[in-house]
Amino acid sequence: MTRDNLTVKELFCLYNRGAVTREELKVKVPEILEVIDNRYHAFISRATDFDPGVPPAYPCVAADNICTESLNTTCGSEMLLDYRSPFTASALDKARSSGFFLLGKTNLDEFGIGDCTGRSFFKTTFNPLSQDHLAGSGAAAVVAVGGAVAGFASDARGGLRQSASFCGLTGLKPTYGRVSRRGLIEYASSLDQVGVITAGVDDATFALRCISGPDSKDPASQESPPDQDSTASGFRVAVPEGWDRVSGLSAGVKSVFNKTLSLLAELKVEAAEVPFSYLPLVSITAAIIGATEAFSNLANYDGVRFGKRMSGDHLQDMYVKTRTAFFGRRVKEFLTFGAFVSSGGNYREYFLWAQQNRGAIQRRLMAILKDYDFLLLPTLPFTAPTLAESSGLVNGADVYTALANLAGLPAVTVPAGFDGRLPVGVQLIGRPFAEAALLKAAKLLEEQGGREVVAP
Amino acid sequence: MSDLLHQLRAAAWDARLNFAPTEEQELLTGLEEVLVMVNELKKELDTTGETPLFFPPLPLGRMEEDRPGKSLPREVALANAPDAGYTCFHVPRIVVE
Repeated sequence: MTRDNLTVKELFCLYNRGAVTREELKVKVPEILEVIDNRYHAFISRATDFDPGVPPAYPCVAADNICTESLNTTCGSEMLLDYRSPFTASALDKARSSGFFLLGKTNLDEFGIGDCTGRSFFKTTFNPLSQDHLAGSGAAAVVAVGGAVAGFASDARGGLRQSASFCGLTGLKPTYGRVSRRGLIEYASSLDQVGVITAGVDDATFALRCISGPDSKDPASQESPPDQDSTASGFRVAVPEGWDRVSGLSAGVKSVFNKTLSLLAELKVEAAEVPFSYLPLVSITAAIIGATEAFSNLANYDGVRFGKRMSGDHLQDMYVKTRTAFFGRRVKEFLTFGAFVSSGGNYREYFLWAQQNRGAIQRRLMAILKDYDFLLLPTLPFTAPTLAESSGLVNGADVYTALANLAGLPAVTVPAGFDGRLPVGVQLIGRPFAEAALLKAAKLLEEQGGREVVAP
Repeated sequence: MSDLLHQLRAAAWDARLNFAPTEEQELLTGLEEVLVMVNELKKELDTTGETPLFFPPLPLGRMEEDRPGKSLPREVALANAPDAGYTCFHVPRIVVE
């Protein structure tokens, strides 16, 4: 391989070993990122200064709903077209002090609300493995072509893991509270967590270590208790029953998942199907809770303190015109849905029902995790959608992933095989703050699965 | 006007949003489908007696003393406002005659 064919990740690797100069890096990296952006429409903004400082330096990108002082933070929305945060998110601050160098901010569904399509006001990100298909997020597309070691992004109902799965990558959503959410413009505070997309489990392990830890400015962030790794002498995996009766489950995904189960049997890992009746509730429960919290969290985008404004005859008129003009249609529908299900007459019927579902789901998952080390599920019922496919209020993409968000548990997706040209991921969900054990098991699966390397 | 359409318009008002008639009709159709699904799920799986969970349980409570600190400087807080003066955000009149 000549130097002209190196990825950004490889160039930084050589830089860290002293084999590439800082000047060479400063010239080559922006050129490669431009190629990636032109081809896959992955970035919303890119850094202008590519001096990584003293090695070691690890190239990273961040979804554009994570605040940065150095670049605008648009959340993929026209509403925040020119917004520049006065501070950088705590997770990115921690990453920077561990040597991560931010190359740019990446595309996402507007405010992260969507079904992991990677469609924002600005652009739609193409999947590097098949440009007729969606990548799910810009961060996944960049990491898939070696444009960064890590893509930091948020995961409210599973978007991070879904896009990682679409692109044949590792996607880790940490335990709720392990990583500070300060500076994450989240739409669902009780579901959202900053996580990481990487090419493999080792990179995810490193990146997680760099961003973890308590933050005085996020009261939900926690000092991680010592990992209770019970897997030293092997581990037990629970497969929730009904996983294969989920609406929209493709034959290809089912086949890859069954192969994973066979593989575990060959490896002498105990995998047993366990009673779990709540899968049909997952998507609608997460949608109701997510929409209600979004209705509240996004109320401050009204044209007063930041973002765009439409003129109005009076304050209420200005609010309505501004929000109607500058939110995308999917976001507007989601916010209205959130207002509907949480309104006085509907609160008990829908919102409280969803929280009761959530309680039932969380308690059942914890009961299963008393006897088993992990739950194993497909990451999604299907592979990456085509560019033409769209979705409604609830489309079931998150039927497996949102379990971890509802219960605040850590989860990781790793590629397990292919359905035609498109990768299929499987997901492990672990006990709270047991990421070390989770990643160890994910590594075992990764070693059996493998991934396709794509040239940028 | 159907009761559901009335409720949908009230929800849009609460969310400070307007929908064009075609958008409203599509949203109404989507909402009807979701509500039918919820009613079917309620018949299949009864979670009535379950304790609701509004927030993921955090294993370690973390309380901190209040400490005085620096606020965001006024000019920084105003920098992203679409219309601001030296000391405050500018908004249209609030009281409607």
